[in-house]
Amino acid sequence: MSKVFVRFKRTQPATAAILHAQKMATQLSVITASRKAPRLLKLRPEDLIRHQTVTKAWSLFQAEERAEQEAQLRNQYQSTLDAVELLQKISPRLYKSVTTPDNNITVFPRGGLRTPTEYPPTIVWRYQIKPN
Amino acid sequence: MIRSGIRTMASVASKENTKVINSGLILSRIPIVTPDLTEFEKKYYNYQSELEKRLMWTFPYYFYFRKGTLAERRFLKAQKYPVSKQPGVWYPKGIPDIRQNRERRSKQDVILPKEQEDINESLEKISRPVVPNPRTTKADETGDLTSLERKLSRTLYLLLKNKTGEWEFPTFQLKEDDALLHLNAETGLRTLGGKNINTWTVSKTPVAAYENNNGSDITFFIKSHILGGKFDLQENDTYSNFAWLTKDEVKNHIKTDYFNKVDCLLSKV
Repeated sequence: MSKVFVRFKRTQPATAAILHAQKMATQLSVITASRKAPRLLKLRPEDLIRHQTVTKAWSLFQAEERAEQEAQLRNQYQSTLDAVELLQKISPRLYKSVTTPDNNITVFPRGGLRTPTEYPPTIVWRYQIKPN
Repeated sequence: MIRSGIRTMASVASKENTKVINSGLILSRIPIVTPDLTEFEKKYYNYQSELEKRLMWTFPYYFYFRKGTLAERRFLKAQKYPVSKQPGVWYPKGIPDIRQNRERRSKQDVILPKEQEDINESLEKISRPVVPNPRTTKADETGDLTSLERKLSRTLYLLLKNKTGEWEFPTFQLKEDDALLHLNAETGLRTLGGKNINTWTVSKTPVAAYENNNGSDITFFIKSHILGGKFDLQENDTYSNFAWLTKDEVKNHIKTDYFNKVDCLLSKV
């Protein structure tokens, strides 16, 4: 009876299976809390009160900001309304030109307004405009 | 019917002639960087971020660094390890509760191994360290009011100083019979500040009306943004100087009743 040796036939499939299992275990461990969760946060009564005060102060602060913004919007609307009404009294021609819808003007500029970032770009402002 | 119609037209026309109509332009440069945080905001955000770090799961470094690699070794070397629990030792700050090299009672500081730093490396090199540009510019240091690069975190408004020494928003009289408010303001701006300016007029509807003291002179304000180029004051008879100012500075420069008219139109950021 003769034996035929085939290289790595015995070991390779087993190693691949282990590696695969290890990979799965690692990936599962990343998305589960076991052994990774910190201890529960137990606040003392005074710390709890401090936390509640901070949270309340923040919500008050935001409510004030919101109220201020809403008031500003109301004032802006009223200001526009007053201006247009005054225009109607003074110059009906301009009033008509102003109140006729014209979609061209409200088109957002191409490549236009830049979103503010935390730090400025290297070229802060482009002083030369492209000729049209 | 027809007669009365004609009469009203005539009366309106005569009324129009008595008043001088100007179109004013509120030209703004929007902020380039995010608004500066107040002291309270800073503290609150810091508090929240510390809370979040305290409640964060332990960083699974084994997921990011393969076992036995140089990268893993460098990472592990850079970490600061907490005090471990030993039998018969008294710990003044409580008994350590360590799992996966993390003290579970406090936040975990994940320290990234430092790459070699060389700020002077050329801009072409993609692996150079990230160095953010400063939020204050040269114009802030020199106090140059005419620069568009000052106060990056605030909205700037263009103000002009007329020959009588008073500051005001650019104001242009409607001269032709068929002139429109927003077009008049745009062409006026270009004759005053040169053609090298790119603006976007938000709407042709005026946002405010300001009557001069005697009431014979009315300015209707149009809102616009500067997108590129710059305002370069040309030789003219009406204005002698210009400045890009924030809302607070605008308040100090113009008359109170004038400011009250435009107060709600200017951004506090």
